[in-house]
This record gives sequence, C-alpha cells and structure tokens, in this order.
Amino acid sequence: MSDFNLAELLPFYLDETDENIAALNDALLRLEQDPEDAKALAEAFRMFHSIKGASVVMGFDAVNRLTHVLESLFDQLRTKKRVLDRPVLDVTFRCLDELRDYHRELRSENRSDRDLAGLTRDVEAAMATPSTASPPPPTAAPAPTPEVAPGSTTTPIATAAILVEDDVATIRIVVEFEPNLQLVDMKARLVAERLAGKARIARSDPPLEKLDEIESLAAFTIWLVGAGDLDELRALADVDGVVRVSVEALDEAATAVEPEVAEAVPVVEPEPEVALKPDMEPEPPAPAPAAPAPPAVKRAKVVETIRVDSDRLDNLMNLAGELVINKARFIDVAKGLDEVLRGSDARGLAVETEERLDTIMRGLDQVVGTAGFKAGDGVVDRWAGHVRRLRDDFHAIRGELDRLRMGRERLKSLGDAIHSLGRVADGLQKGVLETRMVPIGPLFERFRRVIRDLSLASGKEVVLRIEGEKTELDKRMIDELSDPLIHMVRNSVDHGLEPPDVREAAGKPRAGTVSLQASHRGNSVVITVGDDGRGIDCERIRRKIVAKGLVARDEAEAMTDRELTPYIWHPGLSTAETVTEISGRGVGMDIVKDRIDNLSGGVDVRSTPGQGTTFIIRLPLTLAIMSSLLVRIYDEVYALPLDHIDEIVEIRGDRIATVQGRPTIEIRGRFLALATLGDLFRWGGGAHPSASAAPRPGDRSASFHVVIVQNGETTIGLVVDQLIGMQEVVLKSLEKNYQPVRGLSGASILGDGRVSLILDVDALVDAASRRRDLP
Amino acid sequence: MKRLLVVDDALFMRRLIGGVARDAGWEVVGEAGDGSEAVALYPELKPDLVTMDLVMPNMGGLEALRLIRELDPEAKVVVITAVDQKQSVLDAIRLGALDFVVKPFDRARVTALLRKVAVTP
Repeated sequence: MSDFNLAELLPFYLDETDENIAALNDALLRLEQDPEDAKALAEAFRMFHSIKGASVVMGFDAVNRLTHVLESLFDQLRTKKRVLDRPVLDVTFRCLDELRDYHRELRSENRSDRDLAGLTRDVEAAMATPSTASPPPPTAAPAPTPEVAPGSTTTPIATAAILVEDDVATIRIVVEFEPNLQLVDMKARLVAERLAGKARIARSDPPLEKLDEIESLAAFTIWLVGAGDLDELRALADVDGVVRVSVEALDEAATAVEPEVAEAVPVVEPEPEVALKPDMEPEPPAPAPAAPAPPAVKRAKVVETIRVDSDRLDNLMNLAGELVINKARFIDVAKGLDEVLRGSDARGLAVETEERLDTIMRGLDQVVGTAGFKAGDGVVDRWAGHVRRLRDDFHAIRGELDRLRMGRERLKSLGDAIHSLGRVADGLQKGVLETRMVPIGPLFERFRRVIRDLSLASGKEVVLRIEGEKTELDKRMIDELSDPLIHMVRNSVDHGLEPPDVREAAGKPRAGTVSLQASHRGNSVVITVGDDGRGIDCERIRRKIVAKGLVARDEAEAMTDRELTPYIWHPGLSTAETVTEISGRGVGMDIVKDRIDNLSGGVDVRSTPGQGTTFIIRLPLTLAIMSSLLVRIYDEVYALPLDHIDEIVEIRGDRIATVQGRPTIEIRGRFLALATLGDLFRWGGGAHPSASAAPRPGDRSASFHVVIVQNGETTIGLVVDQLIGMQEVVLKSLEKNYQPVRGLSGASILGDGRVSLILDVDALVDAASRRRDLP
Repeated sequence: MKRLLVVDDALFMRRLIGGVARDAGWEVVGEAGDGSEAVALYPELKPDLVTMDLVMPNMGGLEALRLIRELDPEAKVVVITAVDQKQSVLDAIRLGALDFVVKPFDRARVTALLRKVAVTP
C-alpha cells in the first residue's frame, strides 16, 4: 500500500465514484417506478459495493461505512428479504446526495468534513424496522418517458426474414462514413446510384426508401447481385466522406454464419459506465445488418477504454494545432520558393547565346584563316579572345541554370512531402479531437433526477423528454454546460410550466413537458431546452425595464415582443412574482449567457405566449479549432468563424442605401445593415489610422467586399478590404494571454507566424444592431 | 495532370476551389460563372472533372449537369451544394453527378475529393 501514491489515484477514484453515483441515481429512479426491478436492484447493490471497495483503498472511512450498510441493505432487497418501500427509497436518495456533495468537496478542496455518520445510522435504523408489506405506489409526477432507456443501445432488428431472400446476393459492400457527415443519407443514395451502373442492387441496410428518415448514419451496407471486379466496385463506393469500404464476395459459408454473428451483437451489456466513456462510434449503424461487418464488430469492442488525464489531451491538442500551423507555414514557404524558382526560359536563352557565340567565334576563325589576313593583327585576336571568354562564362552560367532546374524538381518533391505531412497533421488533429468527444447522453440523463426533485418541490407534474443523447461534443464543454443547463431547466419548471390545475383549465395535459435536445448542425452543436408552459410574459418585462430605468417609457411601449424577450439576459431582471426556493430571483440568466459566451457559443430564446419557451444554445464542435474565413481589414488579418457566415458578396457603392441614417444593402429582397470595423471598434481610444483611408460606404464609385454574418437572430453585412481564404485556425485565448476584449473571441497564429485576431460575430452583430461601440 | 473546369457564380469560390485543385496537382483549364458558360466550355475543354455550383444565375447547375451528361455520358461532374438543397442533390444524383460536396467546406474536403475522383473508374 505504501508504494502507492494515493494522491495520484484520487482523480480516478473521483471519476469512477461520480459515474457510480450517477448510475445509482438512475437505478433508483427506475426503482421508484418499479420497486421490484431486479436488474436495477442488482445494479445498485453492485455499485454500492464498488464505491465501498474503492473508498477503503483511498482511506475514506466515512464513505466506506455508509456504503457498507447500503450494500447490506440492497443485498437484502435484491434477495427479496425485504421490500423497497418509500422510507428506504427516501433515505437512499439522501445518501446519494450526501455522497455526491462529499465527493464534490473532495474534488475541489481535497477534503470533506461532511459527517456521514448520521446518515449511516439512519440507514441502519431503516434496516432495523420491518419493511412494509407492499411496495409504494409509483409516484405519478416525475414519470421518465420510456423513449430513452438509460444506457440503452440500439438493438439490432431480427434479420432472419431478410436472410431468406438474400440467397441471390453475391457481393456485400459496407461503406463507413465520417462521423457527423452532412447529408449522409444522400451520400448513401449516391453510393447506391454509382453501384447501380455496375450491378443489380438486391437490398441495402438501411433500405433506400428509409434513408429519408435517417439523420445520421455511420455505415451503409448494400448487397449486390452479379459478378463484378471487386476493386472497381470498391472505387465506385468510395465517394467523398467515406472513410472505409469493405467489399466481400459472398458464398454459402459466409451466408451461413451471419445469423450467429448478428445474435452476438446485442449481447454487449449496455453498462452504464460504458455510456459515459467516449464511444468511438458516434452513431450506431441504425439496425445492425445481418453481417459480420466491421461496424458491428467494432461495437462489441467499445468496452475497451482507457482513462487519460484531460490535461494530457489538451496538451496533445495544442501540439497537433501547432503542427497544423507549421504545415500552413511550410506551404507558405514552398509557395514562396515556387514563385522565386518558377520556370523561366533563362536556360534556353543561355544555350542560344552560347551557340551564337560559337558561331561568331567560328566566323572570326574563318576571317583569321582567309588569305591576305595578316596574322597577329591585334584587334581581331583580342576580339576572338573576348568572345571565347564570353562563351566559357556562358557555359558556367548554363551549369548554374541546370542546377537551378534540378532544384526546381526537388522543390516539387518537397511539395509532395509537405502534402503528406499535411495529411498526417490533419489526421492527427482530427484523431486527437475525436478523443475529446463524448456523447451528451450522461449529462442529459442527470436531469431525470433534477426534474424529479423539482417536480416534488414545486408540486408540478413534469415529464422530461430527451432527444439526441448520442450527439457528441468536447468533454470540456459538457462539463461547462452542466450549470447553465440546470439553471435553464429549473427556470422552465419554475417559471415556465403552470401548476397542473391551471394547465388543465387551459386545455393542456396536466403534466408539463420539459425537453432536452441535442443535434449537430454543420460545425456546431445545437442544444435546446424547451417547455410547453405559459411562455415569457413580455408585458411584465416591459414594466420591469421601465421601472428599472433601462428603457424610456415611450420607447418601451413601442417595442415588440421580439425586442423585449432578449431582456431576460439582462443582469438583475427576473419576471417571477415571488422568490421561489428553486430559481431564486433574477440572478442566473445573465450568468447562463456569460457561460455560453465563454464557450464561444450563443444562446437564443423563443417564446410563444401560452405555448412555451425554448432556449437554443449553439456551440462550436470544439473549443480548440475553428474553420474560419481570413479577411484583411485595415491592413490586418482577421478571422471570421465560418459557422456564422451566410455568404460573401461584392457590391458597388451606388447600391448602398441609407435607411434610418444607417448604410444598408439589399440582398435578394432582404435589407441588411452594413458595418465596418471602424464603426464597431476603437483603437487606443480613437479611430484606426488606416480607417480614414479606406473607402466609406458613402463612396459611390468604390466596390466593396461584404461578408454577410449572422448570430442566429440578426444578420448584418461586414465590409472587409480583402478576402484571403478559408483556413482552420487554432484558437488561442486572449484572456489567458492578454485580457478579454469584447468583440474578439481570441487570436490565432497564421502560417507566416503573424497573429490574427478572431472576431466574435455574436458581439459584432449585437453591437452593430444596437449601434453600441465596442472598446 | 488531371484537368478541372470550375463552375460557380462566385469568384471567391472559383478561386478557392481552383487554388485547392492546383495545390493538389490538378490543372484548372477553365472557369465558368454560370451553367450556360459551362455547357459551352465543356466540349471545347473536355476536362477530367467539373465542379458545379447548383444555384447560379441564367442557367443553374442541375440543367448544366443534364446538358453536359447529354453531350458526354462519361462526364464527371461534382456538385457543390448547400445543406438545405437536399432535393436538388437527389436530382443531381439521378442525373449522374459523380459526387457532391456540402458548403461550407474546408480545403481538406476538396483535396480528399479530388484524390478520390482521380481513381474513380
């Protein structure tokens, strides 16, 4: 034991215990519905047992004693020696909360002074009382919807029926797609269409007609009839976005083993622990085909995971980012060299000149050789000597030029080397990125407990709906999201949902619904928190902002609901009539927004009176890398996140109109406010020195590059001086390296080593639409 | 060296795709700003690949794709599309598009595509 450094083990202990506690919560919630759920009882017993075992190694005696009695309690329950009744359930929930807080303190302060002895005695007391005869009735309110069974994996559908008609198929092709590939259903269709030119398609999985209903697809399997060149088929199936194609000629034997393998797949125990670890496959291949196809086999191996300190991953991520920057630098250097060494006709000229000099020399020699010429005529001799030297010099120059040409050819192989370096760098970066991606499911699952507690505390009936729990995002983001989400969910239950009687009177179901959804959209993750409650009371916001002196009365009177709603993000503005235990009062929503801004994301709110409120959070896939458009403004290079760019237009000055005193352009019938960086930023307290030299939107003869950017709600046109191109940039925090600047989300190092500032489009749009200056 | 015809109404996109193609060792033999220009240029240039934007003034990408495939049933055309143009993508696939790329894309996407196209039978 003394060889062990316990401090090093602590993070592992804490992570595992957290996971166990989360899974226990989940098991208890299931037991609350069905106290005789044998699987949940067994799980709970096993998890208390693991916490007990781990805590004794770590020397946390209080935890050990508490989990020991809980283990004994659940041993009695699972062996049916007693029945799980309400008092036991309640004390167990209390234990979980206490254990969770204990470990949270342990994590933040390395110690916890929480006294678990009282609880331990409570559990012992509960065990000493004879159990009630009948189990408690399931509580009505916090009914978890069955849509998402915790830790569920997709169970393959029965395949026997299909196999019967499968006897004619002679070739099977499995195509694996990149994770989160856009329009992946169309890619599958494309594969089928390309293959259809060569062979008849017997069937596919998923079937072609079902493709429309599928949003994400990890693999697509297609069975062909006929003979064909397998390599040709492989090339045809290998469309853009495909990471792997396996082609297999089917024979009797292969068909025979299929059902067996298919049956083996669902055996993979959906362990709760597994669900918490990065699953290498973001989406399961919908119904697993009756095939020993790579995706099916891979699923069975998911269990092999390894815990890595997240700092190490951050470090790797940084290095991979640097490598990508270096690659860009290499490309720059090679391009520069290429320009310098570009093939010219210099060598041809040299050869020609050399030949001409030869001719002249021969001519001179002839002159010398003719009769009547006096040998030793100094002038001719001297000229002949000059020409000979010239010719020899040119010969040397030609040698140099030959070497230059060789250099040029070497440069080409340098280009090739850079190209493969680039491929490796990109692959490495992508790989490291993927290691950081984890599904959002476990975070969402935690809300079952939150909803249960909120429901009990508020007396409202609440149903939680979870969708898109397989959506993956950066682990760090998941950690940061927890608090804002809890706040929004609380807000929904407390302020959004009406009491059951009020709902019934309004013709709504008694139980309100809170939904958590996640999905990928392009390079972003969109998370929504919605409720079907009363919606935001805009009149109340109007009164509040006038009362607080934020907006003049007449101005407030003229504001639309759409304009009023964003005030919920304003610090110190809460529309709740009374302070409740749950949501508190007016602190929070502004912090929620700050937190999400810090993750380079954005949050929007949509609300319909009487129908509910939805918060829409948009986050980048990762915090580390961003696809961006590089532009030049006032001689400096800025990066604009590609996700926020709608389009790029070039317009002439005479197409800029002035609407309400602001430059505006019309793009396909839509009017957009036009902004320049000079309008939005101040440099050292004044205008940028180059800003006055740049053409102003008033200049009718000039033409402007305008990048149309949006923050989800509002769209504006940003005038830039020059478009440079798209580039992946590695985000470096300004906050860490300098200080936070409003309007800038960070900085990045470009290929040539210069620093480019990354514009925060949300803040720009915000500032431009409110005509407010950034610093 | 493989030869490419780039069709897009936006100069910026033409530059972007052209640049990536050149870096990947392709020769950009022509650029067209709309579908009709593309159809006119195709028989003259006989490129190994056409990249075709879908939404363009005068003649759109789908019509141009159809006409080019009529001129040359072996023509290889990759369609450039936005994510919300699913129906057009489906039409393009039926018209024999070799592949499609969803905007916005990064350079690596185009590079990878060109590499695959080069070995497609």
